[in-house]
Amino acid sequence: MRESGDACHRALGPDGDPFVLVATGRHGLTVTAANAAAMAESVRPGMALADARALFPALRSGLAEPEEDRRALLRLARWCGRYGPDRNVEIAPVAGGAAGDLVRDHGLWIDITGVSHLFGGDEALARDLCLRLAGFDLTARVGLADTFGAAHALARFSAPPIAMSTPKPWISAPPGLTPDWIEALPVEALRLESATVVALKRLGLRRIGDLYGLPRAALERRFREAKTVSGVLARLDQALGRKAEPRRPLAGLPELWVRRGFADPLISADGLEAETGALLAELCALLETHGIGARRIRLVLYRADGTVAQVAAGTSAPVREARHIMRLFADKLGTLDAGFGVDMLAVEVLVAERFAASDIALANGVDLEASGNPSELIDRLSNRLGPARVFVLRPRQSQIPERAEVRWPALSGATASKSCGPVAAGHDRLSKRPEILLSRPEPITVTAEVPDGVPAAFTWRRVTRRVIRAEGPERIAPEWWRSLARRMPEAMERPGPQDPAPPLGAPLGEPVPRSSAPRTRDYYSLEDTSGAGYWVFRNGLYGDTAEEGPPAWFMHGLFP
Amino acid sequence: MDPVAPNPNPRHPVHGVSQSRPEPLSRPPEAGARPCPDRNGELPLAVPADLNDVPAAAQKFAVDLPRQALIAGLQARIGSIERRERQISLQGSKREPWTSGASAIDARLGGGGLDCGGVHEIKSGMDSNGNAALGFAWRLAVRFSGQQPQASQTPILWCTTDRSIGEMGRPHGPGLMRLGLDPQRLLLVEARRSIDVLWAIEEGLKSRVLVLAMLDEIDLVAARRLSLAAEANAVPVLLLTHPAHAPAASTASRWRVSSLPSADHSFDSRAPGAPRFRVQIERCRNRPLACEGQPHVLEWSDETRRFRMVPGVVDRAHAPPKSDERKWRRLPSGLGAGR
Repeated sequence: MRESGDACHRALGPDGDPFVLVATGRHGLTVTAANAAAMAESVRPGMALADARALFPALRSGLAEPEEDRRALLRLARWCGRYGPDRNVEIAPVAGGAAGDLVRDHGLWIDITGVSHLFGGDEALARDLCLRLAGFDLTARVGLADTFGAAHALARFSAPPIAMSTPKPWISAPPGLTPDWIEALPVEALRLESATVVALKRLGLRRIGDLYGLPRAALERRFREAKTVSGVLARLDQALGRKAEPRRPLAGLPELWVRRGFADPLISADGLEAETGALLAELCALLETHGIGARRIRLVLYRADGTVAQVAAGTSAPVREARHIMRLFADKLGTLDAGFGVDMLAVEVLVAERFAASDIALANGVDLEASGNPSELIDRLSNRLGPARVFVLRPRQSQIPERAEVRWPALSGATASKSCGPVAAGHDRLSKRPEILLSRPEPITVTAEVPDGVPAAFTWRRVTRRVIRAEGPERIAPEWWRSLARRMPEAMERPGPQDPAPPLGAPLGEPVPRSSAPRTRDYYSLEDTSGAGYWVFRNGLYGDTAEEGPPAWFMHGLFP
Repeated sequence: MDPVAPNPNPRHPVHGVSQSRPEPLSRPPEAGARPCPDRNGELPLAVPADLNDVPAAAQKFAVDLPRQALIAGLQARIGSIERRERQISLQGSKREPWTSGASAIDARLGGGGLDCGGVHEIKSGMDSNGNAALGFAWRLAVRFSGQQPQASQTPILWCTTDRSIGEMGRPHGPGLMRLGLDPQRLLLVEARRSIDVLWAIEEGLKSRVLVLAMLDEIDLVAARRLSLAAEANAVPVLLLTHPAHAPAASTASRWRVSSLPSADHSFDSRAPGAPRFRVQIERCRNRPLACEGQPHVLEWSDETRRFRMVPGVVDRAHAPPKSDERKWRRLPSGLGAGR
């Protein structure tokens, strides 16, 4: 069952005074919205402001802010997540609006399929929604029906604006009876183009019910349009549930969702923490029932004033241990502002995974720390410092030292090891490598015999060091297939499992700033008079072509 | 008396010693009595858990030690009992000592090696390229993972700030592999501020992983906090601090390490061989005596994965190979090739 709430413009002023919102239209200032008092004076949206003033000289006006309206509606849609995760705003031009480019019909929908029993049924849910919207001083209309199209029609053309005094301000079509409930509504309610509406009315088809008995073939022939989506037949079928209508939710739908409402809003941090813990325990029991673990979890706080605060946490392995998840949230809970109080908490599992055999220990809460499972530590570090600041090293098939390993965000741990392909091959035990690699090779000035002598002295970071012992050269040729890939980017180097894209912050591509193409490197391991070790290389060979330029020396790594 | 039962009041033995001090000092030495029988890795649990035993135990040690040393020795011993009892209750098993491999150093440290539950501060000597301390720390980490059975699979946490990465670079997997450390065990944390580094170290300690961290400086409170966390979880921190800054207090030990000309290469006399370090212990919490004396010269072997004492500093004449000076040419990078 769908539900569509129709929220009108914000802040239309005190009910007593006629008030309109205006925007610059083709013929000067045009009314885009009017409050009830203005409507009573026959002021209508779409009128020129001058005409409205002629009707009612004391009319007050304000400038419309469509962007701000949109944002407010989005905030409201986010808040509506308390009724169901599948919801979004709906912004469509009003059917038959005289100034269709200005007048916008703002609405939002919530899919309450399988959710309403949590509130005690559809009617109870609608009552709760109406009461809260009225509490926010919003003029809204609420309709409930089997299909989205029907709910849309009911909300806009049948439901009264909600008010605290109205006993039942929503219109709800009982399941299965949708055709009967919308047949009396005008054809505009079917979300048709204004030209189509005019044509229908010219034919005497004023109500939706008039379309029921007509032969489909004739209807289709007459109202065949390029946009079949908004064709009469298509819209009618959607409203009656004969045709599916896919819609995009505001946010990705969670795999699992646990929520808890409170009669009195929570304000204290302790209360919030305790309730979050209880909710997580509930969630973890649910995860266990389904045999899955959470990889990404979101905690949503629905505040009493209609706003929403949320925090998310990721894990490097499937988790269903409430204690661990609570620890990830504990830091962030302190930074959240409870505002006027939180009247509902929800925990959503955004990404869930099945457990691998090796994760079973994790799930059952075996003494992880003694058995050396690092994933909890990774989760805590990554969630506090950011996933781009905690890494693991993954070897890669390359002889170029800075390409021989990738710094991989530890949070995506398990997937990384799979995608890296043959692992241990990247690390060669035989060749001498430093323990420290500078993040970028630094140019140095070297005294060495030409063409391929061992350096006798070098200047690095403004200090000249005399070389006592040296080993080398170890020649590392550039990877020709990569320069080929540079020339033909579309043919080669497709992002595949063999060559995963380096993560944020990893040294990418060529470290040598000046040269365009990679050159052959000769590496030397040096030791200076104090005994400190260095790993330097000469980029290029003497005798290279003129366009490549003379060879240059770089410091690349350090030995103790 | 159950020897495993924890002492209800561990302070009592100290009073017991001070009350009965004159008597044991006058006793003749007993044959076979050793000053510290528990230092070589034996469980020190047979030590007095009862007030009545204390005078007798004190008599044993009253061999020929001066009074001050006796008290210091007993206090250190009590401290190690307390600390070790906590470790045992946490681990449920006895720990192997964490040694450097060079017996002269390990014997000085007391307890058979480095303290497994403490902060070890390592500073470079002012003269080297700054990497000697780091190289020494990596090698201690290799020793730790090799000797602690439960530490051979756990990750090693490496924490730095962005600034020190720009200055000192990053760990390089293939190089660590040569040392005997699986680079895939490494967990790298690159934090923006040093306060985040401290937090990450503490988190690592709570998860009982060995932590290597690089910081400019650490203040008194932070060092104490890390020290307590390390002690409570029985895992060590190797803390590399800038040599110019003041040393941290409340660390288990402090080392000053500088590089020395390497050993001779087995096959190539001109190539650098096994690295050598000049190591000075500047502080040792358990053994104040360890800090005295000349710096040690240690040599690391990649094959045996241990340090070795080098007898006497070999000061080779550092002369460049005899060659025609005209052949050497200064080549500023970017200038003409060959000419």
